[in-house]
Amino acid sequence: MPLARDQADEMRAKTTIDTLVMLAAGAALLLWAAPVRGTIATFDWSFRHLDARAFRTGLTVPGAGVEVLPTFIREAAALVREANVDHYRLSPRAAESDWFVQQVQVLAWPHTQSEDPASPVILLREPVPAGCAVVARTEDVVLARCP
Amino acid sequence: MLAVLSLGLLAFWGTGDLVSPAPGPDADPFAELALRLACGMLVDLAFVFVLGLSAGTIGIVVLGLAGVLRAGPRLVRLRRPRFGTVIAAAAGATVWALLAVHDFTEPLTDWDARSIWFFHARLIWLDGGVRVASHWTDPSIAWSHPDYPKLLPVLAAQVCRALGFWNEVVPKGALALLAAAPIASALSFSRSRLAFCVVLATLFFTTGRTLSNGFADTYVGLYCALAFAQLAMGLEAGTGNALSAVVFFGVAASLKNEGLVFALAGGVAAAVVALRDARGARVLRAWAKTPRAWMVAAIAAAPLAIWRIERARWGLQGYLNFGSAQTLERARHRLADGVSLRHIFAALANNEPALWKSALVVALLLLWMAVRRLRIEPSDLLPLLAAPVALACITAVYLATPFDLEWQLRTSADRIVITVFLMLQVATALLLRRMGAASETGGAPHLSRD
Repeated sequence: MPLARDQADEMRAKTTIDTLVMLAAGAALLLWAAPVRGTIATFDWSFRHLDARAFRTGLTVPGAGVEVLPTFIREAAALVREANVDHYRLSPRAAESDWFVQQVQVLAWPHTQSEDPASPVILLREPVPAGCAVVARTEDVVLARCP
Repeated sequence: MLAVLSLGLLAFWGTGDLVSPAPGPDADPFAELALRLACGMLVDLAFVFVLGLSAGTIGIVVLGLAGVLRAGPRLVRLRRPRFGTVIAAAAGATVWALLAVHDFTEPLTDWDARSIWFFHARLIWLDGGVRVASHWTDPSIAWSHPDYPKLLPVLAAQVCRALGFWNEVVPKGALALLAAAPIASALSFSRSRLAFCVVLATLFFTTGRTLSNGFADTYVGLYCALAFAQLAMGLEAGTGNALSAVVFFGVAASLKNEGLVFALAGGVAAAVVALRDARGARVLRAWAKTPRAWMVAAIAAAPLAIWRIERARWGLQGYLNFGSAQTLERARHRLADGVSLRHIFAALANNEPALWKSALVVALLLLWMAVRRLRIEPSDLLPLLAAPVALACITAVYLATPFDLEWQLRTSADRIVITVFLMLQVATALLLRRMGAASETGGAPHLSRD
């Protein structure tokens, strides 16, 4: 019965291949497991730490969520908005941090940053230079007009 | 918020239904849904460019509701869906709800989200559209890449306009609007259980929080990867899936400039497949004779074209000035230095989820199919053909970047490579789908739509 033996051999070969593929599929699942587990952990963390009141506030209150930014960034933008100046500039010290420069710009828009020396200047945790007049101030930030 | 999102999706679907070809009797309902949602989104973007934020938003809602009313009698006549379709739809709705709620669990914190996409959204919201040239060309916001495409910012501004206020959470509703079409498209795999599970798990649950933190990269990846999947299914079955691929590439290109690169890779791969496969060529030819198909293709390209024209009119240039002598010289220098290319490949390969792992899975599947003598259709290999083209384009961009290469790789490689990673996941799902169909039909490769 050579035909039957051939068929049996073929079946055995197929079974071996299938077993190998199953093992490979298992290994592949393990390879994917880390990112899937990581993503599910991210969701899990978010939902576990979900504060229902903060969630509601985020969906209903104008301006909510800005507290993720450091206080001095929010204060600088608020000073510019309250002073209602079209343009403002940053002191060299304040301009050292790209994040500060950019996020003040984002929050204070449409009040824009300018190189114009006539624009009021934002000073960050630094003394007000002689001859400058303070427009508004908080603990960390000063908006001043300098000649 | 739920009302705004529901109205938005309904308006997109209605508008998409007005402009899309009527679905055939063997149409894939999920691909048709995805096509309409994506089409509506692109018409919406074009409306906002031309009419402004408020008029554009009102326009899309009116048009969408008109589309829903027109489609009403057709929807009533629809036969009852199969049980499997209902289960797939429920799974899709669950994934969407999970992503949507997750979007709102944290305010905008990451740099790209705050400084590019949602800053642009705030400009659009305050200006009432994308039309105050002096704002976009203001040198003080050059760091924010004001030349970038505007789909995500426009959607975010519309959500805020509909709600009547701005804060650092609600604009993320745009992400929920963007997620709907890819999820619908992924449901096209629901006829093959294993492929469906792989698609849902690996497309939506392997990229950490990047679907919810306000980055556009993973959405570009989703739209491109699923465009390849729909293109593969459409070239084989001759259905409207291929049309949704074109619109998905349009969305990707209106999300980020990279989308255009991946669309190009898709075009190259589709041309190669059509050359090798008579069925694919027939589908493309039939398509070219359908006026509505041309209309959909025009809709896919329109917002990008409008934005490019506006950019040119305002003199707004991207940081990559391809074709300039300086850029070419920089790329040539990096290509020759023997280090840059190695760094680029290392940065693209050494991320989690890692490309090599996905490539290994695909290679194992191909090996198994070859050993079992299962026929692989040329269209199944579309994402695999496009992946190297996409990688080559990404490498070219890194070679030409005017920024410090190490810094650029450190800050972007992990996000840029997501699209290629998702393309490999889709390739896996297509092969699994083929294997499933072959085992059902005793080795024949035919994929039934019944």
